Amino acid sequence: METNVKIASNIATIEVRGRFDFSTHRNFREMYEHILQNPQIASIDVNLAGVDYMDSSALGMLLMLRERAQAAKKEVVLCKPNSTVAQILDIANFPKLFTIRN
Amino acid sequence: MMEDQGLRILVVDDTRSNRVVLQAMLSKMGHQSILAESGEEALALFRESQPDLALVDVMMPGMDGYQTVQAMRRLADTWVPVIFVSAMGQNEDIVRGIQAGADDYLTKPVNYGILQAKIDALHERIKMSRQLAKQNRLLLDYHDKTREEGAIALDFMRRLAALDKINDPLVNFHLQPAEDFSGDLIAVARTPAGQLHVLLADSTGHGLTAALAVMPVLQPFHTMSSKGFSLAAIAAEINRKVKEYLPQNRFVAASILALDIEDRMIGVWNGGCPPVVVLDQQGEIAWQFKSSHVPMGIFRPDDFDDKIEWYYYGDTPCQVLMSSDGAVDCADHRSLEAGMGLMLDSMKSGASAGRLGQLVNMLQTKLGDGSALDDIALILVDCPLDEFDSRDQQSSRQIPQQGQMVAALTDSSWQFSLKLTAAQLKRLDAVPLLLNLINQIEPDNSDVAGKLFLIMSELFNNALDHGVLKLDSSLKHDPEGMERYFDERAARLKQLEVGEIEIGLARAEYAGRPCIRVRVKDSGQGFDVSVLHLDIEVSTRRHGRGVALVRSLVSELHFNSNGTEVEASLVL
Repeated sequence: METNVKIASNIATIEVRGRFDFSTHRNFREMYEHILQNPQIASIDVNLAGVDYMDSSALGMLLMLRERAQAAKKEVVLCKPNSTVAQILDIANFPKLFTIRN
Repeated sequence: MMEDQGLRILVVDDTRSNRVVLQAMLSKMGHQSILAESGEEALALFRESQPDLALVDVMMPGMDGYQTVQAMRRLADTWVPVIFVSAMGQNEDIVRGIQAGADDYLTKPVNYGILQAKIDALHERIKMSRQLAKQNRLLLDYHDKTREEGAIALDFMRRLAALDKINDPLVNFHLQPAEDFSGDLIAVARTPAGQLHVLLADSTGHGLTAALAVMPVLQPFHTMSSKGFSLAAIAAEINRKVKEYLPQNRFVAASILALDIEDRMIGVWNGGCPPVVVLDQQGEIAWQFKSSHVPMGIFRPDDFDDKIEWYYYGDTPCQVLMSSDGAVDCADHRSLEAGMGLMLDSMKSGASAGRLGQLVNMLQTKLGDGSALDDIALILVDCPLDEFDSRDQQSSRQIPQQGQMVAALTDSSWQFSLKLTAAQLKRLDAVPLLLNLINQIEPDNSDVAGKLFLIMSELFNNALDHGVLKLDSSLKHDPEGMERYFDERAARLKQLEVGEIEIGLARAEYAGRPCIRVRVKDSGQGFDVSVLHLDIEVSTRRHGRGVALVRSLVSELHFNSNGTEVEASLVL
């Protein structure tokens, strides 16, 4: 998997590509730790457009991010999931927990 | 030739003084002369300089005037006027000159005024002729271009309509467009359960626009049939598509048929097509599905009537005739009843296998040498008592599609299993590896790769984490738990000495539909299956979602052998 962060004004975008599962865990966490400490950032967008595969550990990581972001008063938005990823998010009831933007 | 530049005139005369006089006169009139002293030289110059007009002396040594003009006529591909100039002024001389191909005749000595008047008159005609030639060229170019575009469009439409792919043994059809493009469309599909779906669509008008208009019905028909949707749902979707894509004044008459051989039922939705007729073995009408709906694309989805009429044919095999307006009209253009009557009469004699041929012959006779005024589409569907029936009756035909599907399933089924022991479990990223392999085996089903990844990943990681590595999920509960869990996992994996996981993958069937079956078995102690979280509630818990996710994606999930083995089937 590849990750990559872009910051524009008060929004940080984490782009995840390829496989999003437990193997991504450390990398993903390092990405968001920096952002959480940045007071300028109000919202964290996780761009899922490039994610081909995802499993439940990725869901766990997203929930972890959400928890940490709430504590830091930041919002998490999941962006552009492909249809299979969107279906998995749906089944897991994630639309009730996150803002999902296409 | 520029309009105001005068004409380029070929002057042919063997006497030099005559040539000089004519040249002087023409020059005064503003024309340019090309001089030739014999017929032979004249022909060479004619070819070379393509004059606008020729003045030709009749009496010349060698080729005379008549021969010269005849040769010129053969050379020119456009009209070049010729005036004979001759000392012989008798009526018969003039007649002979005109007969040889001249446009006019002048007697010597040439009178300036008469020469000018004749040239001026011809000048107008030359201008018109040039204009005509130019327009002809444009028209030819346009014609070629249109024909080329038409050929491409035709090829494209034929591919879309894929008539050549219709090879269901129960369906015979005849499609004869009034123009190159047909506004009538025939499509045949089978549902996963083996029900036969047949569509006849007839859009307003004919030619390219009609052919285009009928296209939106194709995709929903095929896609929804292959997914096993009911005829009513398919009809409603086609109506929605046609309404959405076509302009207000366009609509598509259609009859759609479903044949369920197992239940001996024929269902029809008929909107604006001639009656769909059920024929018994003697060719008599057993039932008619008259048009009871308005054509597709008129009603908004909310007002659409998707009612299907059903007919039970019991223990007598029968045939169903579906036809387009154009076919009935061709039989007898006075009325629908008369046309249908003639069509059905033509089918009565002879065996059921030859009925469509007889009907087509009758229509061809009606048409004579003329081509059809409207597109003609005819479909004859055999409704046997079981699929084998039709195979026996028509042994020369292809194997029934359902048989093909079964054969195809057997042909395309595959399976393998992989047993990984500690050494490989430490090193290999097994799931992506296997997924890649499946993608290669099933290139047409790459759309399920995302789901398959999730299924394999959850089942494999459960087997590895809990079965082999004996990790406890509740570790993930506390805030830093996830981190610790993954660290612990890595540490235990590194130290792993014994343990194995077997992954079996196969293409199989679930409830008659092709599926991919994933089986994962581990060497662990197993677990109490009853404690699994199989329902997903809105939860911010960071774990325990995996199995529930898998369960909602697959058609079948079960644990065996005290939880050490799990099997899931994903329908393709």
